[in-house]
Amino acid sequence: MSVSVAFAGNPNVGKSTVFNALTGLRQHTGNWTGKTVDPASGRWTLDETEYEAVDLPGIYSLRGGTPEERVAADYLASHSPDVLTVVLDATALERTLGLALELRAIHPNLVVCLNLMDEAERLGLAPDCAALAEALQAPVVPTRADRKQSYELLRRAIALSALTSPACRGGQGGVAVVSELSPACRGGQGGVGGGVDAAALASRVNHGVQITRRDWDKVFLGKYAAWPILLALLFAVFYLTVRGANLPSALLEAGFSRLELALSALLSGLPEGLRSFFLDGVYATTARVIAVMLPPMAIFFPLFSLLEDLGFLPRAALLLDRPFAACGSCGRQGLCMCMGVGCNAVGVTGCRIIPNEKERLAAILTNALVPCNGRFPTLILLAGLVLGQNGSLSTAAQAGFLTACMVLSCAVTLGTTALLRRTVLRGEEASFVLELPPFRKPRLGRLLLRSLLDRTLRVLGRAVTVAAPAGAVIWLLDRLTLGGTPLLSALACGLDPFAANLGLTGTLLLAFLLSFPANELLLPLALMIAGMEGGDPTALFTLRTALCTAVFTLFHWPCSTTVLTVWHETRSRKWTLASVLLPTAVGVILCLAVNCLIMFFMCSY
Amino acid sequence: MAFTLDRLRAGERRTVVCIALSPERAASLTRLGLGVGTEILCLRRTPLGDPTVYRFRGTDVAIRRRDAAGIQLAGKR
Repeated sequence: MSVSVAFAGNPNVGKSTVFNALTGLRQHTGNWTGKTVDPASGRWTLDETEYEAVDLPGIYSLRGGTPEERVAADYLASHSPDVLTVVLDATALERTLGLALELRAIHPNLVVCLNLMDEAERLGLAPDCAALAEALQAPVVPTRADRKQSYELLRRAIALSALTSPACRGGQGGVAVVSELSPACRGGQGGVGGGVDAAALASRVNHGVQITRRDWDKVFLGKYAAWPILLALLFAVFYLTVRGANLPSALLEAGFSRLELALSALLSGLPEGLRSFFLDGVYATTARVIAVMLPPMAIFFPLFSLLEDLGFLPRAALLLDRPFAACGSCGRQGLCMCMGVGCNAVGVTGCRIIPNEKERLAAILTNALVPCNGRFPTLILLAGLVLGQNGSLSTAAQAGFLTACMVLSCAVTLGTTALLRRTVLRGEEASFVLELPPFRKPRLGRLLLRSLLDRTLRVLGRAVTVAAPAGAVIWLLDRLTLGGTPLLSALACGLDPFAANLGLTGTLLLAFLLSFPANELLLPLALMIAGMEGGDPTALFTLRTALCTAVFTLFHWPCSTTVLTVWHETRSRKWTLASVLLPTAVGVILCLAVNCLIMFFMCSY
Repeated sequence: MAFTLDRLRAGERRTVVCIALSPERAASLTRLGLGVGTEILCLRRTPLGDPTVYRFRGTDVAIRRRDAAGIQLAGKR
């Protein structure tokens, strides 16, 4: 016989953490409101009784009309679980007790889990569990993430509560647990006073002690410091990503070429053509994509998760809200753009944090207008080309060039978003309500694991599945000839007239087309098409083509991984196609304009 | 003219008497526990003037002026 247990609680009280600790599941948890949307389920066994648990979405009340609240209310009404566990935030009792009082009124077997006790103690609170148990007429179990036994106690309390459930009466086991719970945790006697006020009760439980948190928001949202801090932090993350990735990328590349030698020896039995197909085509492209993509992502995402865990990201979204609101969007889009700098595919997935459907779609379609770090190496090389490479002055000038690129990209993103919201995605300005969780000390080990597994490896997995076949296609194209001339050169020649209008060359445009699997491949591909593999890429450019290539690098179709992700997120062919065409159109228009301007100035001299 | 939340100054505390917003707009606020009778404190305006950070039921929440204008408070300005 099994006992059914439902877990309810406000968003962001660590409910998923408690649930995972009890059931051994690995749900994504984070310091961000609304992580759990569909009810997750799990199970555990205690004293030969099986417990089936359901994690309801985070809610503030059963009476509200949001999808989460309806899911939770419907579940409780239709399934009537044997035991209902409500998870409270010990540091925010006033807010979380409201739900507990509501649930108390509708369910006879309530177990209260007072979570985040460690944090409450650090803040100088000592919640009176006995008083709370008395008021709620339910066992209260304090839990803390740093002590495993506290979860064991919660399991026991649930088992004990289940014994009094009509459905479970007569079940085996559970009797032994009684002595292990202190009287206070067993719940007091007497009726729950009608009309208990959450605020008054919270104050009574905490003996009138009020939390005095250091008011960090005075600084982070202050008049003068807010924007400099925001920009400095974002710049530091981007800088560390671009700079810090060089060395590990080089090491990985060296490692892969050593592996290639070993593979070459291993495949020596194969015919020469086939061996080259695997090594120079499939293997080389895949290895290159991993070597250039893995280090920046392995640096960027943990850093970004660190800001997330600290609670800084909601503040960033808040600061960014004003300019985005003017464009019919909201500050959360700014966060998606930042994630897009790490990888556009992750940025597109990140758009889930935008609640309004039309705003979310606009953010997805415009995400590729922000250069991902796969495009940074190209931009850095072009910065050197346009502004000269020697002298310390030019280093500053190059940084200025990159900054100009980012500013242009943000301006175009905002402009395009505004255009979309006034045309195809027109709609009323959505409400913007953003909860600012208290700053929390991040847990580094878990953070690293999560950002590496959840984001980095998943994106890398998707990238590799595209890179391998793309490597094969590129290898074939490189070997094929058309009436004596190599196919690639012929294609490049064919594209030349059109590319010239954009201020590009056929070679560069073809390289853009072939680097669809990964933007990092642009320069190596351009060199391969020009027949100067391993040569100096600067030879491919003049000032005009360098400027136009920079513009086209910023604005063209998203890479295949991102397109695949847009499809996953929208499940719509129309919007996926739009996500390809929109940045391409922007790039073509801007390149035409830049090219015309340059031609005009060159003619007038 | 009613005294609405957007006119609450930083540091002032009042009680909500009426939420005059469309159901969808009101939902995002009631979900966080803001209802008639809730006491709300204006914490600070952000550097660009909008949104504003409020505190109710022990939680800090940022609300845009447009939404705040639909929340009526007790008393007079």
